[in-house]
Amino acid sequence: MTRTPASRNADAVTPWQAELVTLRCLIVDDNQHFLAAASDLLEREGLVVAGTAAGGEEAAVRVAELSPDVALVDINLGGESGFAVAERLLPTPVIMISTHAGEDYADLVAASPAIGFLSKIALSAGAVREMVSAHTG
Amino acid sequence: MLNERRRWPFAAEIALSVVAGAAAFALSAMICTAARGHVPPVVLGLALLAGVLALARAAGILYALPVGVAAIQAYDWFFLPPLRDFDDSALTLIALFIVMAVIVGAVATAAGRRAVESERARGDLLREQVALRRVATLVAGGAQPDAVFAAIADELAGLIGADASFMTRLNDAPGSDPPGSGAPGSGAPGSDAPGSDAPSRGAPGSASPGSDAPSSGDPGSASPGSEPVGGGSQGASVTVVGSFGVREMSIGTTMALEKSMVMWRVATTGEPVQTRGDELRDGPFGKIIEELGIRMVVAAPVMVGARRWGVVVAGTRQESFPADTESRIGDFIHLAALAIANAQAVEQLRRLAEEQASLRRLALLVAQGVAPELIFSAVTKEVMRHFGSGTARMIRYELDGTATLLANEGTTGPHVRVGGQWEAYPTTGITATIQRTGQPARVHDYRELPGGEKYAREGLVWAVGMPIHANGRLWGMIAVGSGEGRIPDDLEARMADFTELVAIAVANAQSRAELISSRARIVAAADDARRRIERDLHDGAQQRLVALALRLRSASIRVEQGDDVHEEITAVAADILVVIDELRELSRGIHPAVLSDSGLRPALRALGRRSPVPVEIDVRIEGRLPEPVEIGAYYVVSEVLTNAVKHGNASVVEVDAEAADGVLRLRIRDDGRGGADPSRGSGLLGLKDRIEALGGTFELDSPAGAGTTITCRVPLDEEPDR
Repeated sequence: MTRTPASRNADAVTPWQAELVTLRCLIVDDNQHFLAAASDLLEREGLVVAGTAAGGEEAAVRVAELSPDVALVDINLGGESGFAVAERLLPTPVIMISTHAGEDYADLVAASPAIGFLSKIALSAGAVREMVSAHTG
Repeated sequence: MLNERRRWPFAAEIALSVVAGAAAFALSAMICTAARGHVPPVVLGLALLAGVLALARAAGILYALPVGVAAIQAYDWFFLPPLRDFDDSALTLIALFIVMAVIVGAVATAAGRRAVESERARGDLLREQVALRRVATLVAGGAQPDAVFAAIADELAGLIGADASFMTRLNDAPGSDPPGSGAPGSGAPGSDAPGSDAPSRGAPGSASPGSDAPSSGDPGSASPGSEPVGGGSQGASVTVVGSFGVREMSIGTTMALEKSMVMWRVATTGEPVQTRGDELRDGPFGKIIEELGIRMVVAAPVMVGARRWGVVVAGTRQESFPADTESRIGDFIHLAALAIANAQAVEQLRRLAEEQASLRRLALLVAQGVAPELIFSAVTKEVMRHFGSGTARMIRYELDGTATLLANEGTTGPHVRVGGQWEAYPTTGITATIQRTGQPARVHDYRELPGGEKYAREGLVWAVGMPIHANGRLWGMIAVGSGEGRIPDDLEARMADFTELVAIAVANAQSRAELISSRARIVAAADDARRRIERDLHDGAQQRLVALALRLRSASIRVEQGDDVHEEITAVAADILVVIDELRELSRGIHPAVLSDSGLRPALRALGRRSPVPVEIDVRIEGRLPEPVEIGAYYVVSEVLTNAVKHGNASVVEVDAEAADGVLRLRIRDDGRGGADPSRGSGLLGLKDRIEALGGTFELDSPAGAGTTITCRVPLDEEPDR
């Protein structure tokens, strides 16, 4: 399997460098309360939230503009499927997020281009970093 | 013996024989005087005897005896010597001889005639009895009325020596016949192939009115100025049921009665009538009578019970019928009428039994819940068997105004496609008439109906259609048609039982379909409600709680960093209160706690208090109702209040609930826009399903612009069917 660098602008990073690099992320969710709270928390935990989007269309625009290292995409975006959005955002690595329990979506996540799943409750900068480095590693 | 010359009165004959004797004496005296001396006595004597013998043979003893006595006396006095002078004493003597001879001859003749007459009467009686026995045997053997009538016409002709006779049934008897005394006749003659029993009759069973039969439209039979019988009773007609020796009067022929007809006079007066001569030739059947060479016609009524049932007509090629023919017809027909009544009763019973058997078979199918399509074709088959001698059809009227041919039996054509659309039917035909009126309809003659040609080409002349109503709507119709005879008077009444069964089958099928779809709707509505609750939970409370959790984790990081998070914690607490409110609303939507805790009255009051539209609530319910009823009633009010606010522009809503006599009556009325329609999915259909699932009724009255009233009645004492 060929691995794509997290950011095409960055130099290829080695595993030991991952901890040192500041991860830039995009959060895609249709709930404004969650976007605000999640951005605040991840920033405080040391991630850079490059931007947020409420739907697939907006997310694609933001990805082209900002070239984030990772996108956090809600599985249930109102009428839109988060997995379809993940397809659109390729080759940016995507982590699926949801208020629902992860096991409900395990098969769907495995079959999708997403690199992993995080419950919204368990969202943290460390979890995101770990998942990205596991992916690029 | 039927052609015996007419006799003179007996007294005249006696006088004549006296004169004959006197004349014979005078004639013989002249002959003997002239022949004296020229002819040998033996020769003249033999010649006289020969003359007397010839007279005896030709004219009988009444004339031969006086003539013979007078002639012999003249021979003695004026030919054989000694000759005698013709003086007073001779005149007295010859007068005495002649009178004596006439007396002896008259007595002998009278005795002889009496013997002959009694012999003849015995023979007539015997023939009559044999004829009746043959008719009675037919009836006892369960013969069809057609066969019995044919036999009566045959036997009557033989009995009175007629050359032609026919028997007709009055279809609309004028005169004494009370209305509703029962339709005459028993089914359309011709429906059971009459004539198979009587090959002597002309063209039996081939009755096609108007073709060769003298129907009222035949120019040869309609006399000028004739009018229908009976004044008010329009359309009185007769149908030939038995016929002998007259091809034009084939069985099944129906003709309108006209005043010029002998049959009309018989039907009107109830008395026998005879015609002959010009009256006969100029009458409506003059042509036929001339062809047959009929010279005298006798017609007599056929009474069955007190009813003028029909007319029997007999004709002879002789100068006339014997004088007692009318009374003999009367005697025979009187007895035959018993056979007719019997045959009719037997036939009606048989028919009734067969129809009942059919109805039982069909009812069983209906009860078994067999697929409606199978019932349609079975009913059409049975209807054809009992009523249609040509065709039976079932047609369904669709909601879009079209019609579909569901089943067809009998005749067919390019326009007959079972399962296909029934189209291009004439606007005054049966299909269109029933569609328009919802009532039974008749077509008497397709050849005269505009647009009826294709049915006429099938071979149909008449047809009758019966509507089928199911669940208060005109659903379809069954029609029967035929090319033979005329429409039986009681056809609609007899078909009604069959259409009734179809209506039940259709209504059953519709109810079943309705039940299935309402079940499906109830299940779908429950699924829908659960999905809505899940979404409300997920999109609302759950998302907010996740965000609050993340905010608290941020706050905890800020505390570690030494920030003041007092304001943030206060904001989070306020948000938690919002979430709690939201959850409470949600749980009330799932099931209002006040309803299960305290019953319908406080629950409805609570609904009213929360409604943005003023609600006037009047609840007259003692204690608690069965839980499903309480829940059902609660949701009806809840949904209607929501609708009233959302769609109805109502300024006030009245809610009226009363539990009495084992029934909950619930009425909700608003003064909004009205025009609510359950089929447009305003949630009303779900409420209706819900109430009907409780065994109740749900009525919606929502005229546009005049508010909406919903009335529910729910039984309280029985468990609803599940």
